[in-house]
Formats: sequence, structure tokens, C-alpha cells
Amino acid sequence: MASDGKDKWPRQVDAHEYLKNHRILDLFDNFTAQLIYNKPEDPKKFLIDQLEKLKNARTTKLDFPCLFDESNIRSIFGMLDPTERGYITLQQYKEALMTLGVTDLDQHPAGGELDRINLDTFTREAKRGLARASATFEESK
Amino acid sequence: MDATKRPLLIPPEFATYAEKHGIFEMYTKLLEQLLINKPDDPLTFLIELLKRDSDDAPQVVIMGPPAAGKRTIAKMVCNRIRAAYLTMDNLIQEAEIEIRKKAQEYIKKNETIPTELWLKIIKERMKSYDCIKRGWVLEGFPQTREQALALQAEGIYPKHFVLLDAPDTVLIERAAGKRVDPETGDVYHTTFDWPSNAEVAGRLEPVPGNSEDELVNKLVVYHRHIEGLKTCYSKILKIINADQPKGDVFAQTITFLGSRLRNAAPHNPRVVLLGPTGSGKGVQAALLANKYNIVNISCGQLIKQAIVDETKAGLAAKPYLEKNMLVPDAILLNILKQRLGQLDCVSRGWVMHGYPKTTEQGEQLVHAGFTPNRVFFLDVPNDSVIERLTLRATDPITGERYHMLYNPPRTQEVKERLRRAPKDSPEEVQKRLGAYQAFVDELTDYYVDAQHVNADQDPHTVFECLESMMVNPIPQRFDD
Repeated sequence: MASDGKDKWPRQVDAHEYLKNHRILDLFDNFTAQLIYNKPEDPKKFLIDQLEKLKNARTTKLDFPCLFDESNIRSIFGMLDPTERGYITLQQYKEALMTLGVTDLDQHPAGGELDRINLDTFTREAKRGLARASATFEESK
Repeated sequence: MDATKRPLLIPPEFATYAEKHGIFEMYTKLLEQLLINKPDDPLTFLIELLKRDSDDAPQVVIMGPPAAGKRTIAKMVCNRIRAAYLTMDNLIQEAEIEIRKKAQEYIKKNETIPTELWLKIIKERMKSYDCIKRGWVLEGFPQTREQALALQAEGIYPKHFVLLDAPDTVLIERAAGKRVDPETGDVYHTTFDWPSNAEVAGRLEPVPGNSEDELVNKLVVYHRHIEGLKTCYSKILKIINADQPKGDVFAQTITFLGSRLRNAAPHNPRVVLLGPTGSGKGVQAALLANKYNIVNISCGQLIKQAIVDETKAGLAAKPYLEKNMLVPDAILLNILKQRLGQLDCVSRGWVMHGYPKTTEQGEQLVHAGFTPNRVFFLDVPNDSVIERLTLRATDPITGERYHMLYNPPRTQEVKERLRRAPKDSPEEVQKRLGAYQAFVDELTDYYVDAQHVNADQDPHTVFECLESMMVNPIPQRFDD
């Protein structure tokens, strides 16, 4: 936003900053994904559960509520590597992570220069990225 | 997130799900509260907010000039919707001791209580359990635009603003006869509203400060501020004429409180039009379908189409139609399911007429996963239907269609050769009316959220009526 906007609408700027710092919009995106996938009978109760889980994850830094688990990541790798060569190309790696919703992926993973990324690297990157995508709260300073 | 990078594919069933559970409204509310309060820990805050679960709690301001009947109406409304009743007096009474003392000092000195103090009092009161859970009715406050804006900055914004309005002369006249019950605070009037209970009547007292001069002063202050308030709450404002019997004022107020603000939630109209033969279901469906680009589903047409296409269901239905019998529910449902399941119906919405005719059919429709979100009854008296249908006629030579009353033929020659369609004979129409009447009560009971439209009007008047009901959310019902 331009600087003159800041003087004009201080509250709007504040609001945007607040949403960004606390990653509120990502949080709601994840809510929607969860709701679409699970279609709970009582969405309110479901969201409360999700929030509780997220709160726990924030303290323990483990088990972020996420739609995908390791088996999903493996099966994606399997789909991209139907002949079981044991590796996928850099292009495939990027596309796959993007599809999973990982936005800030490592552009140069191990084996990237050879266009050969193996399952371990892929799983590690995907997990790291997904955890970051679902850790929708302010990073502690 | 960049939508082109991660295309959002949302399954169509989710739209139905989201609409049913009000997901969009819930998100709006949560985000709104987050932005107003900006909590440091949004997760805990959201949990608290969700646990409260009070979306439908009414939040009402009732305002009006002195002696407009604010108190009477506010009390009646509170009794009906079971909300917390807040007035300037009882707010101060229930405030904490320190604040109460401060406020009472101002009152003693005959000064107005500053907005900040009001804000403190009201904020505290709104946090209490009954206000959150059951909603509130605030009477006679805010009085100025300044107060309204201050409330808004704190996130207190009513859902409905009722303004009771009456000409000044009426108010002055009315104020002279105003009596108050000192025990309950109920307001009565010497001529218009005398209590039926003799005991209450005995203890009534005239209200101090209601002489003509004082009232004129109050009215001047009121008129100075009311325009500002009106602009402030223009979106949720309803002006109700208070110069009517209080039952009427109350009825209008309750109807208004039942209405809900239109929201921006995306919604696919899934409309069912019900009504007797000749009530204009087909006409209205065509208009709605045309304007909102939704699919017009005529049940009869679908059956004929299926027969022509020689689909399985169509072939099954054919013998029934030929023998002039009703097509069995199972076959009918099959045909409908096929049509409603197609992409255009799912993605754009539909308007259906000629189905359901019975409660069972309605249940089957819901069971098949096609729940209508608006149901309209087009109400027309039988006489009008008969007049509309039996006087229709066609010229067999030109194919021109006439109606003996609304569009009569020009010449005697044409008039003599007019023919009436066999299905428009009075007996046939009566038969169809009878079939509709047999099930209409049962359908009315089944569709509790259905809205009734007087269809005995010009088609475009009816259409406008339907439009407003389709676009606005279904009003809330306050049961006794």
C-alpha cells in the first residue's frame, strides 16, 4: 500500500497488518479446506477442536492439524514416479509441492541440479512446507 | 494466495453445505470480531467466540421522540424475543457502584452524562451473559450521532434500529395523559391505554416533566439529533408510525426484527414455486430463470421431454400419461434427479414448479439431496383462477390467443370462431384446484420456512415480491 494510504486510513492499515502478522487469512483458508474435506455435522464444534489442536501444536511445535499426512506425500511421489526409478525431476518436485499448497519451497533441494530428487528429500521438504502452511499463528520472536 | 498458482476447486456440494450451516456468515462474524478486538492470541479468542454460539441473538435499538411509546414497545418486544431489556435508567442502576455514583452525580447536577461514561457502562453490561446469549434491546440510546459512532468504534452495532415516529402535535397531546406505574415502570395513558387491573390503575402517577413547554424543549433536542442518527444507522433503520394502536406498532416492529440484512454470501437459488393451477407459477419461473440465469424446471415439461427422448424413465412414464393417470413418484423422482444433477443446475441454481405436489414428494426430493432454499406459495383465490383460465380462448385460424376480459377479440366474427382448450373447461379447472387444495395444508406444514405471496396481482408485481424474497435471507421467526 502506498504511503499516502497510511495517513488516510490508519485503521485499515492496522487491520491489514494484524491479519498478516497473525496469518489470519491462512488460518481461514485452512479452516475452509478442513470443512470441505470433513463436512462436519456441527462446524462450530469442529472448528473449536481444530483451534484447540492448533493451540497444542503451537506449544509443542508438533502435529500441526493438516489435511495431508505422510502416506499422501508418498502416494504423490508414487504417482510421479510410476516406473519406480526412485527419483523425480525438479519440475515435478516443484509442481507437486505447489499442488500440496506449499508456497515457500526450497528451490534448490538436494539432487536438484541432477534433476533427480529422491523420496526422502521430497518427503522432508513436503512435511516442512506443510507444517509451515498450517502453523497459522504469529511466529514467536 | 495467488489463485492462478493454486486453482481453487470447490466441490458443488460444499456450497449447499456452507449455506446450510451459514459458514460464510460465521467467517464474516469471526473476522469482524478479530479486527475490532485485535487480540494478541487470536486462537484462544476464536475458541471463546465460537463457544458463545449466539449468532441469532437479537441486537435492537428502539428510539423515538418522547411519548412515542418506546418503553411500551420495548417491553413487549423483550417479552416476545426474550432479550435483555436495557434503558438508560436501568443501565445506571445495574452499573458498578463507582460508575453509578459518578453517573448519579451528573444527574443530580442536571448535566448530561458524558459519552465516555456511557460507553463504559454499556460495554460492561453487554459483556454479561444474558446480553451475549439472548441478545439485547436498548431503549432510548444512543441519542446523538456522537454516541452512535462511539458505540460503533467499540464494536457495538445493533442489527435493527427501530424509530417510532409521530407528529409533534400528537406527542404533546399524548404526553399530557401519560401515567406511570411506579412499581413496574410500565407506561399507561388516561384515554388510550388504561390498565384493566384496578389495583394498577389506583397507583398510577402522572409523569413529571411532561408539561407542554418541557416537552417542546425535549422535542427540539430530539429533532436536532435524530437526523444524524438516521444517517448513522441508515442500513438497519426502520421508521414505524407510532400514531397507531400499540398492537399494530408492535406487529410491525416484530416483522422488522425478523428480517435479516442481505449478506454477500454466494448462494445458488434453489426455488420451489407452489400454487394452484393458473396462479402463474410458469410465468414467474420463466421470469426468475431469465433474470437470474438459473434453470427453469417445469415438471410436466420434463416428463414430456423424457418421453420424446425415449429414456428409460420416459418410456416407463409414457403409459401413465397416455391413460391420463398420475406418473408414480418413483419414476418422477428419477426424471427430476437426472435433470437436477446436471452441471447447470448444480452450478447456477434452479427454479422448479409443478413439483412437489405432496409431502412425500417433498421428502423424497430432500432425500435425493436437492433441498430447496426458498419455497414460495403463490396464493390466489379459486374464483380468480377460474376467471383467469376458463375465459381463455384461441382463434383456430390465426392462432391468436384471447381472454374474454383482459384481451377480448376485436370483432364479432373472430369472437364466434374462438375455441376453448379442453383443459380450460370449468370442470377440468375445478378438478385441478381440488387436487391442489387436498395437499396444500400438508405442504404448508411441511415447508415451515415457506413464504406466501399474493399472486392475485399483476405478474410483475408478483415477480418483484418474489425477487425480494429470493435475494434477502429468510426472515427469522419468533415463536411465542
